[in-house]
Amino acid sequence: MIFLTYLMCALLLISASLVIISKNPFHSVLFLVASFLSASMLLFLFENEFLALFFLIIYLGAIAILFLFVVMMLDIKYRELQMSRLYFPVGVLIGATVLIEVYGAFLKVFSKNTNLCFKEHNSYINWYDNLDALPDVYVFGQIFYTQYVLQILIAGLILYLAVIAVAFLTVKTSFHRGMVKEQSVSRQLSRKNVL
Amino acid sequence: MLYSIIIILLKILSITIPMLLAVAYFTVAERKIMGAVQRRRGPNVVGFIGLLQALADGLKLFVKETTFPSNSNLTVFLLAPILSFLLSVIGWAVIPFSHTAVLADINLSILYIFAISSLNVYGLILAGWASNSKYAFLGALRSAAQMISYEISIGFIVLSIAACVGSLNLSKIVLAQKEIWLLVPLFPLFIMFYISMLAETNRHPFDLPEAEAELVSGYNVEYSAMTFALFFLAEYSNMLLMSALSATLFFGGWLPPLSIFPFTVVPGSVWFSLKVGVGAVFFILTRATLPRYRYDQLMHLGWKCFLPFAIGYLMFTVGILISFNWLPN
Repeated sequence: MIFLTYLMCALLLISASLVIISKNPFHSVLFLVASFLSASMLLFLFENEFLALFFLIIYLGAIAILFLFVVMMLDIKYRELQMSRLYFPVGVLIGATVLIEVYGAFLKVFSKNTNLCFKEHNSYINWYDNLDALPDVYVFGQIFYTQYVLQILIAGLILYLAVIAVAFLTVKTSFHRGMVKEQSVSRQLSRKNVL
Repeated sequence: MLYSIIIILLKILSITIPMLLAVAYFTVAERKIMGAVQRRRGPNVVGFIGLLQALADGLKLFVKETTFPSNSNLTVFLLAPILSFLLSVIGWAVIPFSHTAVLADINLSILYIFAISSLNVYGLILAGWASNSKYAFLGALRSAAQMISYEISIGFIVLSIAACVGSLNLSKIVLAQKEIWLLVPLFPLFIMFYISMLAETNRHPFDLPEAEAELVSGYNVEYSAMTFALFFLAEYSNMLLMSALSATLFFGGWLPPLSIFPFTVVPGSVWFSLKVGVGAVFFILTRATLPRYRYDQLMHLGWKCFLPFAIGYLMFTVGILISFNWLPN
């Protein structure tokens, strides 16, 4: 179990770094997919199946495919890996700052877990895990719709805004008229249209 | 430990091997039924009334030479068929064949099937890109766009079912249909599911990814012999999987049509197979009868008809369930 967790973490790190190292943009997107997959496997190992499956459906099924689409359609040729003198130190600086910040945050959140070595050295049955039979969908529902109702509503509003923005881009306004080609299927198929 | 691993392997084999046999005979059935529709004989030479045709086809594909396009990306080119075949097989893990015959009775089985079918797109995209051919590329783009758009409407249809049943577990969905199959209260959704199923598996009349007249054969032009056979198996296995899913969601899975004497004697797996057969015959008959859709019509149907209607029907269903206090649990 612990070995698998470390394996998945290693896979995640390797594929994430290969995303920026690999020269072919298509390969980088494939490594992005691999890193999403290993992140989802990590969630499975943490027994958080609902989130893991949603990670698969949304990130792999929608977002990564859109990335693949764009990369395939844009026809980008092999890009040279260039270490510009300006980019490299700035990148290292930003990366190091983020790393230190994240490390501090993680130290605060995941304080020393006594349960971990407890599990390894004792042959006790962990009754807490065995009795915890509530499916995680129920747990999500109970927490999201009681304690974090406001946050859920705000997130929903933000998503709604995104939907409206996308709809606005496609709907013909007076500004767009004449610039957008209009298609009417019934007119296209009717007999009068044929000359 | 070793014992349980052997048991699990045997369970997996006992699902996979009959599934592959079913796929093989599905192809024979397709050719036979299409022959009957078009008033010809279909395959009737190999074996008794052509029943060994599937094995002969498999043997032919097995002994042919596998060619690799010289400018292709070989790793991805070989990965793509393996990936799509693997994904089409592991979807069967959560399908309940009868009361007890299910490999993994997990709580989120529908989400699992959903995740698998959304990963299915990768096989096609990778195949199209790695072949380094215009036709394969166009076919892959088409099929990916088509599968993504119809997945969304299938998702909303499944959400309505989950709201009626109160669970995402396929066995519980079947057990909830003891009184009445979900086909009756959710009839419009059933029709939409069947049509989306055709588009999701890239079948006629939505087989634009492999429109022979325009794109030769779509994403798998460059594939030959076993690599092609893997794609072929994956496609037909996906069709059977979708039929099984529709049987579970709308036709009450292993349950008999009426729970009275003559029907209850027949074992549940037989009823389940019959219901899967309905889906399979539907796939074949639509292929034999309907002409191909144009691509913009396909997108119009998916995004402007099915998606709004599925969302509207979800709201309608939940509204009725809440107002009559019929929500499960």
